[in-house]
Amino acid sequence: MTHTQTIGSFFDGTLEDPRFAFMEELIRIAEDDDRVVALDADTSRRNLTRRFRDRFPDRFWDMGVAEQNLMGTTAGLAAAGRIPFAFAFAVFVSMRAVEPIRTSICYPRLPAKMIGAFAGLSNGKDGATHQSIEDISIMRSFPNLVVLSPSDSVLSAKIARAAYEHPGPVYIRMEHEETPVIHDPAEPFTIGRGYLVREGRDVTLATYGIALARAVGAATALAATGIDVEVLDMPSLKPFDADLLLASVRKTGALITLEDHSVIGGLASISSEALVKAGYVPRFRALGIQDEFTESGNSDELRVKFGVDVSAVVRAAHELTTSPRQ
Amino acid sequence: MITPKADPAEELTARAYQLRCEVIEMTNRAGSGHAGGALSAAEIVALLYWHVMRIDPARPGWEERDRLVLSKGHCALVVYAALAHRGYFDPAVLATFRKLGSILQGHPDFRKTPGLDMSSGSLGQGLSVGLGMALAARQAQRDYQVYVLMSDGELQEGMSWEAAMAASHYRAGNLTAIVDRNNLQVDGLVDQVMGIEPLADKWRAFGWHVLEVDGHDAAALLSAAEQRRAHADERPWVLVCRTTKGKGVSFMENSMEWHSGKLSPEQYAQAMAELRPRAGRFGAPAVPQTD
Repeated sequence: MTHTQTIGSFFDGTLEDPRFAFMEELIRIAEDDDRVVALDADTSRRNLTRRFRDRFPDRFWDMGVAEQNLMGTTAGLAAAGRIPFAFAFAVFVSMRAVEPIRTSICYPRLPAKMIGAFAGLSNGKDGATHQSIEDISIMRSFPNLVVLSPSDSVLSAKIARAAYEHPGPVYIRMEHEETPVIHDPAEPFTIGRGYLVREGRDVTLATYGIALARAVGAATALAATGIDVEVLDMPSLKPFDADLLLASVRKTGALITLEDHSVIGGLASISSEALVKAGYVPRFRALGIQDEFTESGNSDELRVKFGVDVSAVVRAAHELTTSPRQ
Repeated sequence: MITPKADPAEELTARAYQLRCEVIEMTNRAGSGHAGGALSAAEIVALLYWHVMRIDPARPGWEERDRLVLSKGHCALVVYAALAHRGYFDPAVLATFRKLGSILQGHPDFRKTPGLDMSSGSLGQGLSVGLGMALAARQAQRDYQVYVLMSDGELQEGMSWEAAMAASHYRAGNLTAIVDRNNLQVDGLVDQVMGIEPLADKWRAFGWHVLEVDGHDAAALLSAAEQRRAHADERPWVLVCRTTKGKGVSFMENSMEWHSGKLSPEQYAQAMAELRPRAGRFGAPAVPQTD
């Protein structure tokens, strides 16, 4: 099953922050299932879990600035038959609380859902301490854990429901930033499947999260210069839709990965692993944070500085299409 | 054979020594395992599984059951012994402890072992997990109790105190922590490695009811459990149990060498000779001496 969309429907001017659709859907889910509960770690305003609390006051706990206890308590709720959604900043979910997640949630395969907020560069001005550029690398190393990243508010609502329906643990990487609505609400989301967002023949551009809008923008710009880009959205980082990636790359012979994450352990690594496993090595550019700490700034300024903006994609596509074919 | 109705304290003590016998058998057969802290917790575990917890071995997944989180997961062997003799699985399975393919992992895996309520083994996490279970009971409007058995050394983990703070904040009156205060950790005396006293005051300051009790005195433990049951309110309880690491085996008592380790044949024979007579009518070995 491949989800194909046309580029014509993309930028109709609607910008939405994916966290709103996520919380609206989570509240809808919780209306129908009283096992669904939520926790936060002193970020309930930003994560909108206050809305959950206001609707279900006896099903929400703010654990304060204590992410380890947040995840340990989440594990206990899940072990006792609840379906907890635990929210905190992605940096603290994936690092401060990582061992309770690994040992008390992933190892016992509990149905806990962990939401890492302000992931990537979406918390630009707070600087490196609060920018989560390693979370996928860390989280995808744990057996049993599903790792998802919504690219717009349509997908974020679908991912909320998919996480609820999945019987095991799920990590959801949320970027808190307004972004164009790209996906068609009628298209289903399935854990383990990616989306063919735009068909092209010259270069495969694979991405996830809100970087998808930049990928589509770059594809549009490149089309004007005669480079036909195939855009893949890969919201399921684990399990990963290697078949979709391979089919595309075998056709184009060239791959650009674009991510607001370290190239170590993120989509660049995931793709490399899949391609080498398949015995196919295309021309390849990995756009992401290149093994360095980031800094404070407007999110879009940071994307320019760290080479994950539209113009960086355009440059990489030109390099790949002018370099000799293998 | 008709056995006269035993005194509960005597019964508890005999059970504890039965569990100790199994701990030594398991350690001996596995060639490894954390005997010291398992021996110190034997009365506590016997108290929970035979005198306190509302459980049904025929229904390990019973929703209304009381739950135990073994936060000091390295002492899994004494809980495995209790589960086996309580009827969750055949005591002969104890011989597979720590072996490849066993349902009895070196640290608890509740996906593998019937009767376990949680996987554990990384110190400092269990009280948080117990808190989550306690909150789940309230949200699901169930009246089960949650027990968390902790080591004293793991109270050096900051996460334990995050959980202690949150449990009183959220008035988890259905949560009971039990501290096996044997004052020994891997590097030496807890008080010398990283002191945790004044321990009772710390718990009180965090909003808990505190009982201090001799963790090897069966009558005192039964009385403490009754006191806790009779005074249930919105505050969580902690039982700080003063114990002896390696209890019941003379050469293991208060010895930091026996946090974990392997027994020689002579040590095994001596340990069993010391323990088995005290197990009373539970003293018969459950499984053959050889694999």
